[in-house]
Amino acid sequence: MDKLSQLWRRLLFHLRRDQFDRELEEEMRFHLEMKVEENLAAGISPEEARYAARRQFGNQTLLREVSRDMWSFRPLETLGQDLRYGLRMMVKNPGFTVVAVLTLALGIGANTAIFSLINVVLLKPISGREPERLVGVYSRDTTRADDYRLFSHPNYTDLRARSEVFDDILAINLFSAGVTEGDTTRRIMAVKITSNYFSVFGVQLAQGRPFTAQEETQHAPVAIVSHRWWRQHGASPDLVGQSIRVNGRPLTVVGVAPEGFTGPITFFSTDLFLPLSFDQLGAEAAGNSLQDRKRHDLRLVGRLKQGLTLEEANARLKLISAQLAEAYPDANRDQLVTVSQLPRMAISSAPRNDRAQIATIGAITLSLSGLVLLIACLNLANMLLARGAARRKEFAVRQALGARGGRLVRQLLTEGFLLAALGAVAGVVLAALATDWLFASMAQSLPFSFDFDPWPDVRVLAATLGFGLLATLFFALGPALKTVRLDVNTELKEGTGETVRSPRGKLLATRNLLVIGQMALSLCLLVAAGLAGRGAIQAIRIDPGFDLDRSFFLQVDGSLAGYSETEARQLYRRVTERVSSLPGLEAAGMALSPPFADLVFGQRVQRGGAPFPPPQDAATPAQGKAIPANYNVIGPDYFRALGVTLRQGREFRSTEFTDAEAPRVAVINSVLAEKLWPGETALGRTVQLAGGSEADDPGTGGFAPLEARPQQAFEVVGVVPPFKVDLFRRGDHPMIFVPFGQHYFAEMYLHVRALPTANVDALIREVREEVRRLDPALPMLAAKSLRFHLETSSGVLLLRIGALSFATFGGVALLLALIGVYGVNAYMVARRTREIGVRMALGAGRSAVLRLFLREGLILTGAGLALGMVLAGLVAQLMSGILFEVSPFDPSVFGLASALLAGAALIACLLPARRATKVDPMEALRRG
Amino acid sequence: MGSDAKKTELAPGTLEMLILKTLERNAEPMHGYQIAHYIKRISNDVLRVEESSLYPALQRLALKGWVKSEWGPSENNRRARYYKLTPAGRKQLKQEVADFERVLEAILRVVQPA
Repeated sequence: MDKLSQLWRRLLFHLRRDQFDRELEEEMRFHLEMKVEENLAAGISPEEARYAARRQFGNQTLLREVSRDMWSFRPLETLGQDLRYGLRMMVKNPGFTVVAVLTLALGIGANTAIFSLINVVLLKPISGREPERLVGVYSRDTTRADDYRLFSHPNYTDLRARSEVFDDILAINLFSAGVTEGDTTRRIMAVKITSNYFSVFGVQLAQGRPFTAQEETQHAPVAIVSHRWWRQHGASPDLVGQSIRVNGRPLTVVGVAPEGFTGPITFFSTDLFLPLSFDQLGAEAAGNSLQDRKRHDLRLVGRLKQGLTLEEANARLKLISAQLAEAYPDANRDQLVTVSQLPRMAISSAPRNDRAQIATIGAITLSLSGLVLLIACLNLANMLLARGAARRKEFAVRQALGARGGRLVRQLLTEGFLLAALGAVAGVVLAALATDWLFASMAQSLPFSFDFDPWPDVRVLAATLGFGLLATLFFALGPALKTVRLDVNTELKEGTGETVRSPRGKLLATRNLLVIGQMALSLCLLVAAGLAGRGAIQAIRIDPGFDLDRSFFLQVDGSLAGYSETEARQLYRRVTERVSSLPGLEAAGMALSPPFADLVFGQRVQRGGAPFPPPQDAATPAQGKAIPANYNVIGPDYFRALGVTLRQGREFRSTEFTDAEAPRVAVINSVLAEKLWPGETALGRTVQLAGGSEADDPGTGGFAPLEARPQQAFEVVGVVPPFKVDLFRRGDHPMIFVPFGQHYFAEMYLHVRALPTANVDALIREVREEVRRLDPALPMLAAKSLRFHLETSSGVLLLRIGALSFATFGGVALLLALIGVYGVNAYMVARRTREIGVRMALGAGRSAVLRLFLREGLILTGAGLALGMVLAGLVAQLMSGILFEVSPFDPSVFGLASALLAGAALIACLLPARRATKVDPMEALRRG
Repeated sequence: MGSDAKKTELAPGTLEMLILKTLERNAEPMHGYQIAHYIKRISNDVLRVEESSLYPALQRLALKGWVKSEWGPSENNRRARYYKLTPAGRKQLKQEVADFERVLEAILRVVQPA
């Protein structure tokens, strides 16, 4: 049968409905008249004939309805009717509608916001064509557990030449670059890429061209910028061809990356792409590093051949690894190349699957925001119950007129869904504004930018719709069933439609249970907010073990202005000396990483003194285990500049600052000393650096690959007490410091400590001036006090954002609970006006009435708090993993949260109770 | 509702077949009253078509595209809706009659004494 033409006829029917009705009418009239004529012909009297015909014909209306039903899309029409009716109801009760929609907007918006974050970090595919074929390529040392390294360029070229596994394979090297615009230099994360970078991802540049193979290997002054960079620089159509200054060198922009392209990680990206041949240390070393088989600084991403599974790829790579090891025993022995799924956010030398971790955090956050929605639903359910009571009569009439229960429930659900839909729309907007603001504030303190589009994509919209439907079921179904299940007779007989079934609201009445549940859940969220907030406060109050207030630092980077290593070493030494001679300061010393840095370096440290050089990684018993330690490169007076007093030994000397040939010395902290030589003195002993391994890198899993340097022995000349340089690690982490002479880094921090009498801000300005006098071209990137640095560090930012979101949840929950408690109490008072009148007429004083209602409100509050305490305990337990230095059962947080909720509930009870005392007994009795 | 106790109820679906057959037999288009009358007369008053099922059945047939309707003057010069079989309706009728005969034959075989 031809369904399509049937559909067409139905549509025609809808367009010509009136005509249809008219024609049917006419047809039946005609039939009736024919019947009458027939009866008349049979000799029946005219009146009788007409009556008989009509009787035989039956119910015309029903007939019409049946025909119309047949033609129309019945469920759709009912829905349309319900929607129209629902809209009318909403317009009729604007107050109710606004409160309900706002409540839902907050509940749904919280969930949409969280989900849109989960979406970008976990669900949204990475940029490019067939992203599932893109894999991370890793190199593992098979003689050690979980020990990965990056790739050298020759190694990369070898792999790229083999076609058994990959369609193509790209290499990147992340570094931080200085971009000079006018007379300021900005530091941004940049990435050096191979010429096939964009084609491996399968994306087209928005403008210009990719790098050529020649530019990849032979130094060429070219750059590609991100779409965002292009936009931020005026979106000029002819940016391509213009010149920019990177690390003091002019580069020509040859291309603009496509919009929203983030590369191998999911939602943040670098803004500057340079060819692999670019050497950030200056022309001095350019090009050489690419030939070096021992320089492992490239991360690889491969595009698997069509249809190849990870297992098959790894099997083939095993063979290739063996061949490479044979060809280059020096560099490739025991190295196994493997592929695995790209992590979502980390850029790491080791394969990491951060999905489970992200999913866990996402699930915790989503369940907390789910609580907000649940509270909103409970609240709304209560409002709808109250309104349902007011509409009992309406429903009784409709049922008496033949409406079936299911039809009425559907009507109420539709009304609920309308509210939820409006709430969802408002929620999406709220969520977009909130997340946009969140990323904007995060972007200010991070050296890379986010590619985050706050407006929802299909997944987010679908999820929001899901939240809306779920909410509808939660808040509308219960009240709908309750409203519809009524006894038509009693309802119609009752004058007011409002009966007092039990004079006292029973504690277990649905309405009360809803309020208790709301209060309990609100307490959970308040406690969560308190714990997170306490952590954020704790974080900026920590005592790191050094001077936060009088110390500040100045970040310099000679390479950004094109200094070579030799020039920069000289310059830094002069800078330190000149600054130290300024009045008002106690000491000045340089370091590679400041405390609370986003970038932390790691080295594994062993006892030295065994046969030197030792066989490859074979730790002899004399050397003991390699201990992962925080690694820093510092100059003389560093500890004085931080306000840290050495326990034993001395700081570095100025010869050790500049001279690479000076005897190798190191300072370690007492934690490392105790681990290496338990119970013995460390002074005068030797340690060896066994190379950094990211797997045990302290700090971020971020961009801190310290290639294994040739194993060197250092004499321990000083021991310092432990102090805290990483917010999320306890202060007792092993640390090792080596002099600047031993390890050159272009980017350094000059730490300065002011005398107690000095003005720190003035001193910061003076130090800047002094450095500028010394060399006007040297880019000074940041100058800030350590306290300010701590307060603006990404760790504290993270805690703050966490605390802020929890506080938002908690605040919303508190507000909703208040509305709930107030609503129920006000409703009770209204319902019991007559009872109050009787009581007062019989001599009850106002205070007695006040007590009556307060007592009931307080019983509800007490029950809510008690249940809430138990639930909050569970939530706290759940959160214990993400709390910062706060016990999950912190009594002050629990106490404060309960007090806050109880106080608010008291006010919400007091207002209606006061109204109860204002009841005029005469008036109340008369009305009854 | 005017229900007549003596009237024989039609099995659902049968009425549609009877209408189609009626329209097929009469070359001219017919209006509702004629159809009802015709069925009643041909079946010797055994099959009475109730108006409340006739018109919905006609609507159903129109919806499915088996009959077409047109307004025209009646015998007594009033406006009446005339129904006409469509080719699709003709095919459907053949199908339904075949099905019906098969079922009827089967039923008869069961009912017949051996």
